Amino acid sequence: MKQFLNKYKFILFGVFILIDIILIVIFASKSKPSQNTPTPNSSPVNQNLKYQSLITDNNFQNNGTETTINQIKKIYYPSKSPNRKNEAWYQNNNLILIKEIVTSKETIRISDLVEKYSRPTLVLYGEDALSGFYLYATPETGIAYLGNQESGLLLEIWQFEPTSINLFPAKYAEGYKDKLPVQQ
Amino acid sequence: MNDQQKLVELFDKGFSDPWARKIALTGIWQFFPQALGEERQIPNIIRVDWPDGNQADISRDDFENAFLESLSRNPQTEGFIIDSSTYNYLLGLDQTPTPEFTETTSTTPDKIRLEELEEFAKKTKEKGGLAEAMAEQKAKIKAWEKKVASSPAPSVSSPRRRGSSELEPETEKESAEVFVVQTQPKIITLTQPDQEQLQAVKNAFEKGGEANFRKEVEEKVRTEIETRLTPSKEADFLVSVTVDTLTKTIKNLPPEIQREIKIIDPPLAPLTALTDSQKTAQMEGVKKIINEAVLATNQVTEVLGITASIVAPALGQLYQPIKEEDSKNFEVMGTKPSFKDGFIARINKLVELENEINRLGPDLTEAQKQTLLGEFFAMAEREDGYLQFISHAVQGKRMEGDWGQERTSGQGITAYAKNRSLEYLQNKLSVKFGGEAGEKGLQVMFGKKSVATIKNQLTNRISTKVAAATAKATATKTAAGVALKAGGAKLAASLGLKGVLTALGTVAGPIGWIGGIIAGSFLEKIFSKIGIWIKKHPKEFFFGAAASLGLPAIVTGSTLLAIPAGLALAAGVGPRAIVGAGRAGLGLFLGTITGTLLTISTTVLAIIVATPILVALILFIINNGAYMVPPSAETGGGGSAISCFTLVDEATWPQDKKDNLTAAIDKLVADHPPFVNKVCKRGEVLLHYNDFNPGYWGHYDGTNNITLYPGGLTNQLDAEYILSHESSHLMGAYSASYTYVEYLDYPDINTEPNIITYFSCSGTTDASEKFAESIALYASEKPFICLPGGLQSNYPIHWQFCDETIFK
Repeated sequence: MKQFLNKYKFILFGVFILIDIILIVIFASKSKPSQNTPTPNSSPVNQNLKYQSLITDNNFQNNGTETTINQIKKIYYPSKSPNRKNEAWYQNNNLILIKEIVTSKETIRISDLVEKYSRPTLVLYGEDALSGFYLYATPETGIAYLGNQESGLLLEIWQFEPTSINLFPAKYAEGYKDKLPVQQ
Repeated sequence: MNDQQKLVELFDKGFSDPWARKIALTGIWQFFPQALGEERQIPNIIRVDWPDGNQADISRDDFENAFLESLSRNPQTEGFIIDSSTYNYLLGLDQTPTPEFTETTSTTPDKIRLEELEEFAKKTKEKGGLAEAMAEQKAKIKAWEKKVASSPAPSVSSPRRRGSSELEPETEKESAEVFVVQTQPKIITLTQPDQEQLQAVKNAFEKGGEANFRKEVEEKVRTEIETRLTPSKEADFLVSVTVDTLTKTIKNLPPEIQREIKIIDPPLAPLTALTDSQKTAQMEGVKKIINEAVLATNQVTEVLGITASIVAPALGQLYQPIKEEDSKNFEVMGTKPSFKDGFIARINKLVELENEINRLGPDLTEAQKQTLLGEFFAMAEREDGYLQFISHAVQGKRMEGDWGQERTSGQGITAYAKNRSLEYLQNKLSVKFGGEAGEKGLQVMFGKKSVATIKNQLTNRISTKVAAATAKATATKTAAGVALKAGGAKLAASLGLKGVLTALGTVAGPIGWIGGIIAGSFLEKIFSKIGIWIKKHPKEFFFGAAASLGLPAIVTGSTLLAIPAGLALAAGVGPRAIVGAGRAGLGLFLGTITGTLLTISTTVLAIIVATPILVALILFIINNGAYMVPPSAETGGGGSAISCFTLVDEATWPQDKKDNLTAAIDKLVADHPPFVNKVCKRGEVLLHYNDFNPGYWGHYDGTNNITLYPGGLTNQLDAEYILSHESSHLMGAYSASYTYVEYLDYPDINTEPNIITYFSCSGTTDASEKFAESIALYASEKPFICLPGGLQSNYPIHWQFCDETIFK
């Protein structure tokens, strides 16, 4: 054994140095969060091929629970959150909105959406406003997100049939207000 | 079963069912604001929590249909009596007001009659059934909404009976008995009796302000009580409660809130609890008092230039025929208080107890006292919690300062008084076991049990708590010790080889193969040999480790790779050895180039052994977040914290409030540094004091400003509680620490739907408020009478979230 080690000491040493370098590269890549703009998932949300998921592995095709309110069919799909559901809204069998849940494990940020789409033209305030998460929407382009501007964190991303600023709240954002609620 | 059917089924349970009540109130509040005198946007959908933990989006139509169906099918039940205008509106008995119709209805509940419900059922039947009636009602609603939308917004609301205005359209037979729908607040047009009352109040204020007002109201209330109720001694109590409540509520009405004021469950709600439901005279008397009080309060708010709307108390039982079974259900917090039960005598006993408690010496430590208090009051509540809030109402002396809690509280004075009572006792309580005074005090409070039993129960609970706290502290200390001493052989010894292998085995990703291989039993044996070797050759091991990582460290300058040096240092290898190891590593590296390598058989073996183990250690450290850096605000954790709280305009703060807050800050910083660090992550937190009482204790403005009001600063514990609550909002909003997102996604946390302590035990299902409230409860450990046992036993998942995520 001793002879073997002494004979191949340089090779062995080189092998371990190589292992070290590989590990360092792995560590470096692991510790640095991806800065890439998210690429829309290739899997379509539904048969209409209208929207594409922005969160990898989201499935809008199976295991949904359905409810219909005011001619709007809402289907709730499992998300990566144990508590929150993805949503798809249908009107007359046409997909009009999807809501994707964003968990803390996702790397997508507000800046990614602003870069990819545009700056929001409307801000509304819902239940999460008390924790700094507002609904930023660009109704004209059909994108909205529930996010914290300072941290860039997101709770939800909405894609919907483009509409006007005036119609958006009633059509898609029921329960959201145009003023920050009093926090107490 | 669809949502509407589920709603009907739920509503059929009646108003006493908490879920039915909650959803009914929510639906009415959201969908029919005009019926409550509110001017708000009406949603098409509300999300409700079902009792089974699921949620559903309920449309206005579904809610309305279910509500009316349940009412029509169960006219004999207690129903969902909210107020007259709601009923009239929902039942279709109102006449749709025209835009120029400027009067509104009172919320006086005495017009809510069983006959109305029966009339509704009859009416729907005569008209061809429910569907037709509902269609008619919907048409009215739409017409009303359209007209309201096109009419200018009025500014003042006032009670007025139907039939007293020339503007009012002629009505059908029942019109004299019903009220018109309550529209948005309008310019007041009082009936003659109302005008006389208002003038009397105005005169009272003009003469001498509050004192005269008190006198006027007191006289009125006393007359009513003494006419209706006996004996007079007990009437004194009711007068005291009534007058004090009214006066202080009115006195503290905040001018800036204007018409948002809503008094739900007027302060007189406790009267209902005091009423002997078997005695018609008492029932009628209380009804009358409440009606008068509601009217008086409405009018006085006008006198003061403030508009307020009042939703009458949920006095469903008062409007029902008195039955034997009703009285059985007539309980408050597990008791059946009534005049005949001698509640005055019981209150006197409680006062005696308070006095005796005050004489007891403070032999317990603060921690013991706090622990004891929580348990003590939990038991007290079970025994006779009702007396606690009544005792305060009787004395009245603790009511000053922050009256107003009841204004928007669904629980009204009941919840408020409960808390005030708790605080009062808590401030004075210091229990000593043993001794005549202590035993006597316990006997008074727990007369049904032997003193020994009570003492044993309390002692056992305290012991359990202390043991748990000790175990927790020990575990923390052990973990900290492991982290600090973690290094090389010592870490291996601490974790055991199995721990290292586990660390390896849990490595995910491309290097998971290491764990996969090592997990094999053969290699495990090999590594057990290696473990022995490490123990025998610690120095060589670290030489090898340093050598193994020497090159990458030199190349990358990675601080991560400095960890082995730290490990070695911590392991007692010594700085000199580390330097030597570094040199050895460099020498090895150079040796490979220059051919001057020394004899390295041992070193090579060390490298072979050390490399995978070090990789495992590094990954273990990474995966467990156990970077050995000093705790700081940047990391949001750690064992110490520096306060970032700044009192703005400190000189203007009342000394006692400032002292309480300062003590609370000190305690938070000392007890919960990880939490404080998270709060302070963004920088300075500005604390403002506002002497005005808005009806709540604190307010966070969405940036870095927290405003605190007198009610939350009456003692250190409350200050700690409210500061923690508001700070949690700030942390969730601006720490960028994922705390709020983590909260939302914490497994099963949404199965605990309501944090009851929020807003004087009104409760909240709002995620943000639940987030803040649970943190405040964890941090302050403030006992609430509505939450016996505290956060951990009632909301274990929230407690666990706080423990794992916020406070570590």
